[in-house]
Amino acid sequence: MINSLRQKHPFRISLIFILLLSGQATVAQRSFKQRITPRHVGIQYAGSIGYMSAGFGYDLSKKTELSFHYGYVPEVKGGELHIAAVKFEYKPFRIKLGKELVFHPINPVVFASYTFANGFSLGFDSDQYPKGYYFWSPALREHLGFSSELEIMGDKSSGIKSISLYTEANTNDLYMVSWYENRTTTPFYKIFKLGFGLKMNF
Amino acid sequence: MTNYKFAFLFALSVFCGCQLDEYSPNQKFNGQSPSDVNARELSTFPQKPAGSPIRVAVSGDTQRTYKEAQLFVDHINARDDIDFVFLNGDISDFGLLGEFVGVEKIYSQLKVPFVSIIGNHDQLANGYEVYKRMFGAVNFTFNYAGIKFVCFDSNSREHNFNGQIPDMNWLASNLKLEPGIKNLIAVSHVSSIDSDFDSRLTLPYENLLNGTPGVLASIHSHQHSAHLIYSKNGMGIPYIITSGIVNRSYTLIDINNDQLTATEASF
Repeated sequence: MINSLRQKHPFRISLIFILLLSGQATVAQRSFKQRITPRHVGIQYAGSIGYMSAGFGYDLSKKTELSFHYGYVPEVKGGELHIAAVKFEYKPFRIKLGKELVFHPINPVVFASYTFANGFSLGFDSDQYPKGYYFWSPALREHLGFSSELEIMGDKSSGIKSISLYTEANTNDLYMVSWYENRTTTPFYKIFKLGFGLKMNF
Repeated sequence: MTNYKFAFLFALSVFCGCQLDEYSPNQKFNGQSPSDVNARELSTFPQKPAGSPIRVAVSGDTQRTYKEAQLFVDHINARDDIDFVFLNGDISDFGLLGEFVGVEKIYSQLKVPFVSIIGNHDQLANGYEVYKRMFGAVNFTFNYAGIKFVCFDSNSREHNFNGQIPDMNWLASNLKLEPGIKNLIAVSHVSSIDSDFDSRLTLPYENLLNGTPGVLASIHSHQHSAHLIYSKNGMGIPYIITSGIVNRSYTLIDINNDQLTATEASF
């Protein structure tokens, strides 16, 4: 599966490896335990990766984060779906609003999500379909978006550096393909979907 | 902490009232997606005495072409000679809820009723479930002006040619004249002369049509090529394969005095 992933998405895979390696470099002096301890844990509502999802993440640099999420959509909310996602976020701005608050107004984010459910697979079965019959993957989506985050600084003695509230708007590869063909009649913002989350930062 | 409260209220206000909060592109429904659209549309059919001449506009394959779908709807609304419209499959391209919602929103602007049939693309990802909840059963019939329309899932490839699609038993028991019904018309997305149709069922299907009294035609879409009328060996029941919304084309089906004529039209 990794081989087929590599063949199909060579750029994506190498990007993830570079990100992981750069993360390793910045934490090289720390102990193994420190290295694997997440710097962020959080929960998210909606945002195309579940009715609710939970995740943990690491700082790759002062302004970049890599996080891993598991989301669930129950049957009563349009599922049942299980979703795994890997997110990369860049936070170019840090605006201090007094002692307690830090605002990150606009943070570009890219993520990949994979849906685990009946009828979902990475590609289409080559026994069932001629080559190239459908060109996309039903289970794997690539998302593009941006978030806005408000960080509430904690008391240093508590062990929690800060708590973040964020809103994230995202779209995905298939929505973009559809938008492009209807770009004269569909406004771009219409293909963005929202999610809301809460994170603890250590 | 005032700023924090403002931010929270702002976030709440953004997502309340509009379906911007998406759980997954693959969710089967959301708080605003419609359900049982075919039943809703069929309930608006006017009563027309059996034998009255009727005109139906048939096209399919709206997949991703919202602009053309809107032009089609505007075009049909500008005519006043259409009884109803068939949306003959491939409503969506990727089987995503957002696509079905988008097309349904456009078609619901039609002044005349529309009846939707499942296509192969509508069965991808969670599309099959989305279709069933939003439109209703994949195999169904309805009567209008003394004609029984028999609509069914003929997307055999999506079921890996399992011999069950189309459901020949269902067809045999539904493709039948009944009191007050003089004619029958079969409607599905993939035609029996297509490589996406289960080849083991091609002959049984043809035999069923040719052996059933009152059948006028078998109407299909799927091919995206020019409107085609095919009849095996130049005789027997005609297969009418429409072009698609994607090609800004549709087929007018006129039925008068037990005779059916099909004409290609564009918009």
